[in-house]
Amino acid sequence: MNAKSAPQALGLGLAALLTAAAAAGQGWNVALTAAWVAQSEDGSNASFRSQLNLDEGFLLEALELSHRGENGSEFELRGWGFGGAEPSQAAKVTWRAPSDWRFELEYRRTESFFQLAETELGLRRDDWDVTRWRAELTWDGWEPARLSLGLRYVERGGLITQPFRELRTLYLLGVDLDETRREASLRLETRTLPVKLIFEQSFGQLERRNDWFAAQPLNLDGDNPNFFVDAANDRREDHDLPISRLAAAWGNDRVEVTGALLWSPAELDVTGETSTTFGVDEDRIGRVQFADDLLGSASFDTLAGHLAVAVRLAPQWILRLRGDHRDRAQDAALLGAQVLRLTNAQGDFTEIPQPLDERTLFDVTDTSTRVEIEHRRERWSVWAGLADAGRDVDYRRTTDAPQVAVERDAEGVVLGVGWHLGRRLKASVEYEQDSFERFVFRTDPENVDRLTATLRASLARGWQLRLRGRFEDADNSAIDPGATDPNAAGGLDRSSDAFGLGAGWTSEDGKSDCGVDVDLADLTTETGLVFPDGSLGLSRYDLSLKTYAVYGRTERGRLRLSGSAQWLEDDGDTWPLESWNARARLGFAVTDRTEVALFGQVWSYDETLAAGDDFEVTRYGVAFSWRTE
Amino acid sequence: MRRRFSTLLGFLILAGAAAVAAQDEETSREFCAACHDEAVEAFTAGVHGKLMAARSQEMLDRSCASCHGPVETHLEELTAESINRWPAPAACLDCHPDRAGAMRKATPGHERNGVACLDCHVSGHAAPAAEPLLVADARRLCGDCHGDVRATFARPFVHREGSEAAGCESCHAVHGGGDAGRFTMLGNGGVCVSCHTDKAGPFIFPHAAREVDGCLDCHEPHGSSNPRQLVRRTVLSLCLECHANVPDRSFHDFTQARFRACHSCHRAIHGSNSDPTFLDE
Repeated sequence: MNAKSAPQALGLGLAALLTAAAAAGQGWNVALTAAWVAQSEDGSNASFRSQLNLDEGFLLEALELSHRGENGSEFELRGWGFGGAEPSQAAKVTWRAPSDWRFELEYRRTESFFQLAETELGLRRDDWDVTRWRAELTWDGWEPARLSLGLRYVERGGLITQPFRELRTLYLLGVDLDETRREASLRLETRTLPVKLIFEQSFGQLERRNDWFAAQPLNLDGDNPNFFVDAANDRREDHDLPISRLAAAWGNDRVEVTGALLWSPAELDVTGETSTTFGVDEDRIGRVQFADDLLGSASFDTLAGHLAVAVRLAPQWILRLRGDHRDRAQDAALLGAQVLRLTNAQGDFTEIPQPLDERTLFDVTDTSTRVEIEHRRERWSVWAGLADAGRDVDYRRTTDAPQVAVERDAEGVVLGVGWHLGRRLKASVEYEQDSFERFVFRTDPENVDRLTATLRASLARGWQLRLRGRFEDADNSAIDPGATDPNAAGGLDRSSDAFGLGAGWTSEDGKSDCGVDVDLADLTTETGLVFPDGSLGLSRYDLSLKTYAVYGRTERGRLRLSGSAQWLEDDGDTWPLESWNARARLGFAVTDRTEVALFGQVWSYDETLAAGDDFEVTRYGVAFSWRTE
Repeated sequence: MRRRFSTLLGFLILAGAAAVAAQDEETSREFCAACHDEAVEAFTAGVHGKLMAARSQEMLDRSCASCHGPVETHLEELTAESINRWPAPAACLDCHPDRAGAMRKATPGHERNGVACLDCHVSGHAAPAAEPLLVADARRLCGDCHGDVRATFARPFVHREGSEAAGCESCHAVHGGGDAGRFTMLGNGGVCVSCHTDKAGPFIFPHAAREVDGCLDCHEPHGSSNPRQLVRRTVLSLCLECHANVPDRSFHDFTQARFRACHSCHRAIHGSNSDPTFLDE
């Protein structure tokens, strides 16, 4: 744990303990689990943080405070993850008034880190956090409907450093994140009408006020002198995102109808300048500055909806119909100029402006319909269906670019059979075949065949057996096998299969369980490419994954033991690796209301073709739990 | 005549009340405990029983019959077959009507495969392994049927909450939220941008793949062997598979490492408000 967070964690731990003790003294129900975690690392700390971002120090594993007033009011506070040892923290307060009011306040914070030796030249580094607040006030005092008022606030802050190219070399640009999203919503949910209706109107705003800076004094491209002296971003981006949602459901013994509708006219405004400045020979020769002064706007309308109907035609026959529609239309404009400013050593400068006037559009319309009939007997059922879908895409990337229109249609069939022996056995096999499955790009699948089979059996004495398998073939055959035009070159050939076997046992009293899961998954994708010299080639991606997992927990007298382990091996050609983790926890109930636990975790990651991102981390610690009832 | 009618009416009311009282008694928790004392005791002491008692003692007293009823046949013939040993979803939905979306025939994923309330939740007689009244930790529970998805959470790069994989319900409305299916209907960009708000757009220059197919053209939502949960190990492979016709190939020299990391230069790959080739935000 870093020095900065240690006092905060200790302070927080103390505050949690004092709050819990004070609450218990006032007759509140309290449950608290606090832990101290130690961590030893071997290998790449940055890689470990990129995957898990765990640390050592104090951890408030769980805190629950609840109180029920004599007048029927209820208050509850739950929290977890606070301290310095985990990257996610959450807390939720619920207050239910004796009348018909309920209030919820939720807080979530996640710290994100990313830096890998084998990715983006090892130079990209993300170190930021997202904080989310949500509040909801619900009124249940009106019998026909429930009303809710919601507020949401999301804030992302922190630093990103990333390589960027200018003057034919690479430099490091720093971005100081400052993004906030605010949202308010009003929700109405009917209760006594024959039709259940949910209507929600929300209005969101996203502001982006990111700043830039020259992140590193040294340039990254060998022996060249560093010219990068300054970067600035005064650009302001404001998004307005209103969303109207309506969902409805109605049904009787014979017919059931559900539907939903969404309408969102979003807007964007962009104003302000950005610049990067380079001092040549430490300004002795002069300066080169690239600056943008732009004014942009975009409107983005979304209309989406779906309707699903189920009709019981006869006691054992069900007909299902489903239709989906989504239409998104975007128009945008960007005006202004990009300016190259050359300044000599005496401060005299010349500006070379490049005016910009870009108009873009991007419209996507998706429709799909599906009809399905099911015959259901006491112990088995069969179903069959037809699907039809269409996608129209219409776009113009810049003012001068040609307007492109793409229209695609898809057809598909589905056949399935299920077998149910009450709770003892449930099995199903389903086959799907699609043509032009949402095919717009040449790398999208044109034909897809998919077979899925599952079996779940509850055997005697708490044992359960699970089997599953999925096979899929997808391709997009070469539009023109002899093409030299890359866009007409061969598309996609993808095959994947996944098998799984699981067995588990649960004791009759629910206090003990254990199990094992084995999953094997293979994926091979070959995509046609055109190399820079114009020759045709192939991009091949190959995964061959074996995943083994065991888990178990039990309570015996004052002892409580739980543990799990996962081992993953990828033998695929693309990037073979091994990764495993294990965790165990042994708790001892000192009294009926207090428990002390020892726990340990191991995380290991090993890439076969490189060592820069490998790590092995062991975490261990002690936890103390206390509850008042 | 009038007095005789009043007497008859009074007798009928009394008889009816007595019958109702007798029936109430025969469906009460105490009545059931005469034979099923361990089951009643376990339920009353369990989480479900305590929650019922906190809401209303009457609700708890009727709990045996409200879940396992009707009891008339059972009272006539005391066998395991004459009672609803495993209550049907309708019994649960009587008290939890806001969960009805899970069992809609019109959105049949779970319903058609016979997945009912007690496949995921304990009734309350046995101790739950996790909240709310779950038979196992929610991640493992969903994975029992969706095992191929669960296996992807064993991969190195996954959505996490602390040291654990993120819960399924973070993105999926497992009870059919708003009766609209298993995803909460969120609009632009789907469920992903509710957290990744900076990717929501709109952008003046949108990335076509994102606009048409959403996030899943480039990212694996549950877990991946690749950094940033990408569908390819290297960014070069991912980009080139679509952008085979890279312009100015003499400039884009792929033998140099810097040109194999496309978004070192094309930084605003989700969409840009200043550059159609995504060089800048």
